[in-house]
Amino acid sequence: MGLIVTIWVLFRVRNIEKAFLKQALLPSRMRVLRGHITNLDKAIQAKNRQLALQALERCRSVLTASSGYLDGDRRKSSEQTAQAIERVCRSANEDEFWTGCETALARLHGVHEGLKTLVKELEWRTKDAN
Amino acid sequence: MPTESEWEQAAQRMIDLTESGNLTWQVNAEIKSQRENVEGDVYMALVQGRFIAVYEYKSQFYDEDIDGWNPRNEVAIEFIDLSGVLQYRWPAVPGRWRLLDAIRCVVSGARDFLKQFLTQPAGTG
Repeated sequence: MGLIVTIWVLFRVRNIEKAFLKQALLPSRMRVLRGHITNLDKAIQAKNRQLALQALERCRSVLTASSGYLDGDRRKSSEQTAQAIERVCRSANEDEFWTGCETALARLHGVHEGLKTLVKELEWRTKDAN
Repeated sequence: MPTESEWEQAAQRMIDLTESGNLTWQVNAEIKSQRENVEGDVYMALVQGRFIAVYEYKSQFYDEDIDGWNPRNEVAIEFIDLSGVLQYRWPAVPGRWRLLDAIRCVVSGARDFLKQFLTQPAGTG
């Protein structure tokens, strides 16, 4: 019985911790991602491969760090975008690289929108709880 | 599609032609007025029947370290039509900054100044 209670308490603590981190971290992650997406967009316009690679790598890093706080379709979309970015970064062919960048940019906009909605949902939930 | 290395070669060739005086660049205020955040002048030349514009511009880039925006200068090399409309943007090859510097050195008269100044006898100014 004691073991079950301990597991239940740990489970609850972990969930509360996760919810807290989600609420505290996601807005700043969303802002950082927005910045890197803008940089990627500018790098594509300037056809600056070095800048594009840097922006892609940073976007991927934000997505990887945020996936743990996402659920369902949002998580899947974030993970798939991170994988797509990895493939683009490995691309040796120049045409493929730039086409991949455009696709990654479109997907990143989608992930960002998802994050934005989630952050709003969290804000409303907090307001309702208060 | 041409590779980035071919565009780099083309930029290098334009640097050589500019420095040897075989390529003439002109300042174009009209194109400058059509572009945003241009730093300095927009230079235009006719190369192999195509109008080419080269200029420096400022753009805001996100910096995660400060969680804010930082200005960053870039150089654009563009094929344009007679009225300055962009036709094709060259990839950002490493030689773009050297090309702009070579153009500025010639157009500003810095190269001629140095040549004359260093050949003058000491004590004259």
